[in-house]
Amino acid sequence: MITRRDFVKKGVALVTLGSMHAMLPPVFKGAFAIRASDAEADTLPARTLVILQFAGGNDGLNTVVPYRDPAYAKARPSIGVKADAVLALDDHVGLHPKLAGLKKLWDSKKLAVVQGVGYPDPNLSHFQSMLIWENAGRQAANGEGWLAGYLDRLEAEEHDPLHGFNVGQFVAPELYAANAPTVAAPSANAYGFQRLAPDEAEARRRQTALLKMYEQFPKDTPYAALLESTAGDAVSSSQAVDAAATAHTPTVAYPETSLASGLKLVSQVIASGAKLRVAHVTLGGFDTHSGQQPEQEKLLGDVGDALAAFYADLASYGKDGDVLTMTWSEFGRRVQENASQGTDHGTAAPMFLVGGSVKGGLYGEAPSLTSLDNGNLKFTTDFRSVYATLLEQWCGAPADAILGAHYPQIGGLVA
Amino acid sequence: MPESRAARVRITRRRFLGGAAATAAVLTAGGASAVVLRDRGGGSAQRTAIKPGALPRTTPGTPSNPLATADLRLRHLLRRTTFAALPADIQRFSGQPLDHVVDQLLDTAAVDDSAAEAKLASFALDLTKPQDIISWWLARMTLTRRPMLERMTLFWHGLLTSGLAKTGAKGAPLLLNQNNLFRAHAFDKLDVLLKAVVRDPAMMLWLDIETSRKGHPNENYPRELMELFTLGVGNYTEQDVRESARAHTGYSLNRADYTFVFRPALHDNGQKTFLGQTGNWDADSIVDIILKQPAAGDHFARKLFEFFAYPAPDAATLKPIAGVARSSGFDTRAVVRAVLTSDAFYAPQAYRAIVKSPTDYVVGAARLLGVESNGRALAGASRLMGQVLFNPPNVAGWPGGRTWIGTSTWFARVNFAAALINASAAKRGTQTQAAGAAPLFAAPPASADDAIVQAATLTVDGRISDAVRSTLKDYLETGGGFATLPPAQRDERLRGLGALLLASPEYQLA
Repeated sequence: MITRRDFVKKGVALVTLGSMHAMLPPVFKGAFAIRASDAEADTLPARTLVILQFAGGNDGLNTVVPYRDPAYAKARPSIGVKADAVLALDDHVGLHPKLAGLKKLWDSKKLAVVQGVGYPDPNLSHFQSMLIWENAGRQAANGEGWLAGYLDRLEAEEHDPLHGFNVGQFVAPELYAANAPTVAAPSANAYGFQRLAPDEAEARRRQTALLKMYEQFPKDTPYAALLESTAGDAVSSSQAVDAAATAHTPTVAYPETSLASGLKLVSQVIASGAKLRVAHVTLGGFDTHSGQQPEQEKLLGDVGDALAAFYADLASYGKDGDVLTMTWSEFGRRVQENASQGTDHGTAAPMFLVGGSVKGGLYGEAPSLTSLDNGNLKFTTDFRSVYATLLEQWCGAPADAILGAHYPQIGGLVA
Repeated sequence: MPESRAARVRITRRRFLGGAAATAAVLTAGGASAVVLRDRGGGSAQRTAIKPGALPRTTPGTPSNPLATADLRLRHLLRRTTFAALPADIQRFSGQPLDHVVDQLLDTAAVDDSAAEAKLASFALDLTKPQDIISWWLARMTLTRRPMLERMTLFWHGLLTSGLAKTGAKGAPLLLNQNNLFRAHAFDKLDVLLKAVVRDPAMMLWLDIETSRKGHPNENYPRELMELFTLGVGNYTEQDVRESARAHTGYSLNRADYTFVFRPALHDNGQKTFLGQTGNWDADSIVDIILKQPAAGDHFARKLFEFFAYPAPDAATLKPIAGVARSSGFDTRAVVRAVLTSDAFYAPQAYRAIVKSPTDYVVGAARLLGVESNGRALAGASRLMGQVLFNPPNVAGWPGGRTWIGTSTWFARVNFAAALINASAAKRGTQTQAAGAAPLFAAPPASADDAIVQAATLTVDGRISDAVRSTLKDYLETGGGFATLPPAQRDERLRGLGALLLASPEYQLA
């Protein structure tokens, strides 16, 4: 098998495979063909995991509402969702009414809800708790995210910077992998060379010269491989993202929200045939210490509508079964509402898993609203069990090795 | 810089690969070389007084040891201590023994910086706002005549870091105060800084010191004090963290105005056994005990060495510097001086061994081009490159090194280089020979070769391979010889040359 490491070792110019395959000189096509015919068996599956982060700490109790529990009504006299308004999932819990888009996915068995997700000794700092979720609580993660081990394995199979795609300026901490860099782009337009000179021909001359300078940088100096491959990856992936955004015009109408634009771009990259394996999108604003109701309603409406459009779009070209979306937030919120019609930092909350291959339904145990820990819910499922389940059952990667510990997996979640 | 879809110009992958067959003349870094700090040999070019028009130029066919000449050693030292090796500084220090240069660079108090202060004040930034304190610091770094003071302040901001992510926008004035604390004590003894920072409101919020009270000690600061600031993991136990946390109770904040107050009633006055010593310790005695640990000298030496010299030095390299840390009582000035005058600092492996942080990159380029910025554009560019001052990603500051280089952040650097040259051009008008890139040329370039030598000497020590030299020459001479190009086009090419060098792989490294 010819691997990325062979390319590097043999001193061959680094190339981007995948969507750029057609542009490769014959020598690389030949090498790639050998690999592809040789090694079908140990190739990681061609599926995409989309991470949707609710930044700020989403109030899980008003998202998946225990509408029949008298303790809920008692704890949420002013901001509670009324029992007759929820979109019931069963006799105990129901979705917030603004999550109608998600309810449709639930009805078609494409939504799994894992209840009571958290971790031991919960940290109530946004920042610390985010860090725990991002690196799966590993002390010696060296800044690498929980998906680094998966990205490393993809990189070992073949080099493609679009294995990971972060909607935004930066690589999300979950995807940060020192040896398997991924692409970060806020939009197709904002990613790439800006006008380097007033005149287009002059700008092109400068780009040509610049990229040549990166090729010519002495190979035996520190950072040479990093600098050259980054420049190459940047140029190839910006072309690929740009081409993807032009090539696929969704037949589905996405809402006019930043979340929907992000998911639309992810869909366009998937539609282009790029070997996208992990995408990351963030929605912020969930830190609702006061006046929670209108704020959270708006956010949940955005989530439901954007995910509904995303999956309708994916289904329109037959990919909804190959894309699984996982939502997470650094913590849920305090059971008892505060005096400002808001909620303070809490602990456990539900996670959504959406996709055509997801076996819809409720998973895990809903936490008790009466047996609390300092006013906070006691978690029932460790978030790393969800990670392990997705790594192993969706990504086809060894969860224990990647997470550095064993976490029990949730059975039957992926069809 | 706004950009439209139409403005984007692309290069194909094929074109990128097209040049791959060209073999690059590879420079080898290596070869035996004793570094002579006090080079007493006379008559060499680098000790001749240099006029602006006659900077020492590295000739094609560069020597194999990148730091073989006094000129290159001086440029290396200035790049690491002053953001960029400016012609005026090269001229001023050229011919002096490097340890004398180091002493002058460290004696920042001797430099009158009132012009920079006045200019900074004229920007009328609102220093209660997060965006403006970031701009203020970048503008200060760009304008100051005491760049080493700012480099040291940046060191402390990375080590004893605090950030807006935890304090919120209300923390801006507190973080500015912390920044001024680091500046005031930049070269002071480590214990002075540590005893000040435990009482610093921004730090107290960042690491939860203010929440710590008797019976409910918070371990956040006590843990990072040892893990990140002074000793490193493995040099203390969890019991030491707990005992130190008890010693840190009662250090509190007046919530009305966020000023430090010690509340004796909230302080745990019991006996604590910390790192083997028992007593009624408080936060200051904890610092004193920590700095008696053997690991403290190694840790401090490593932090300063890695900031100024190169990553991951071996134990033998650090040993003498750690010795200075201990014998000087953790005197920052003495340790920095030991680093900057060490053989290791001028060893081949120190050359281009550090990836410039976004701050170093934008400030260095702005200083080279003499751009007087209020800092806003630099802050915007630095953010796109992955660094927002006063907002570190976590308690360990910025990981730096390889993490600075990613696809999106690479575009940010390249686009900034172009924008900076264009901004510089807009400011200078078109009167000069090479508007925008003018500061890169001491004299109007007589030829393409001359232009390359001048600009490359200033930006990248003239140390580019012959292949790169010929790439730049091809660029300058596309569509006709350099001398035959119409002046406007020649100016544009010279701007292009400057932008290419600032965006080059060589320039990304310090």
